[in-house]
Amino acid sequence: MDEFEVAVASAVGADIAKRRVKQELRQQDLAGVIGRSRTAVVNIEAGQQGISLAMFLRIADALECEPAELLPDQSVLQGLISLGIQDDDLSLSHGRDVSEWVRAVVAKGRNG
Amino acid sequence: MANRAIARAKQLVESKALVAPVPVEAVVNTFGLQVVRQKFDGSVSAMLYRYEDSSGVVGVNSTHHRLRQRFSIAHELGHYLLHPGRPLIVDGVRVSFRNEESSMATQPEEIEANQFAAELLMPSDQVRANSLTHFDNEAHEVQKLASIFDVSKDAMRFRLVNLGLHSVA
Repeated sequence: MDEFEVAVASAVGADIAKRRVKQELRQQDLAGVIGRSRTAVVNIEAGQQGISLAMFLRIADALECEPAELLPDQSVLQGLISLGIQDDDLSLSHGRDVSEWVRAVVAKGRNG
Repeated sequence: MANRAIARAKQLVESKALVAPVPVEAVVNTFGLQVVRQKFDGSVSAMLYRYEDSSGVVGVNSTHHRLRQRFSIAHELGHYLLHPGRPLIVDGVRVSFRNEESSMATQPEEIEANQFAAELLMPSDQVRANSLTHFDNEAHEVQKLASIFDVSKDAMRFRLVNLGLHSVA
């Protein structure tokens, strides 16, 4: 995966995890509905596994939300990539936290 | 050398007739920027995100001290007015070794944003005017001025030295 794909997988994974928790589902429950292993769900949520468009739609359906709710803002991702905080092991976990924070701020700004 | 960051802040203080303590959040709002406070457990202090219509969001780490947040908000406004083009700026990100060069490249912008914030929150004319009235002792003056301008004592101490009003302690 190139750095943009990594950033997308990471952002989508984080959104899937958040939505799943909100729906009070365990990783195992989601795995059962989409026909994958729990490990696969763990990897998807951690952004370590890219998923097909079909699988993405299946997950959105399982989580009873609009697919768009699980999609990141592209310019936020591009901005994060330009900061270079997604691209290596040293900063990956920190980068993910920053990415979450930035997206939370932007979302609040839009809604407010 | 004429400094465009300081000049821009002065112009803003004059045009809006701002008087200490500068209502930084209200000033930011006049540019179509919204301030959003959001917890972050880490070094990130603030961010600026621009929408396509040139409005935007200033995000501040709500775990930081109120006075530091004020400075961060002013710093982000500096980025907004001085550094167009980047849709997203995040400040206080600890960069990894590999990114050392890219962080060096943006350093002049950080310095400009800080100069802007200092002039906006502690306008030099107003600091000078207030400084004359409390010259009994320097430590005491720092404290008084910090409370008048609603900034941290550290920020005010640095400002006074910078303006040549106090000696380096």
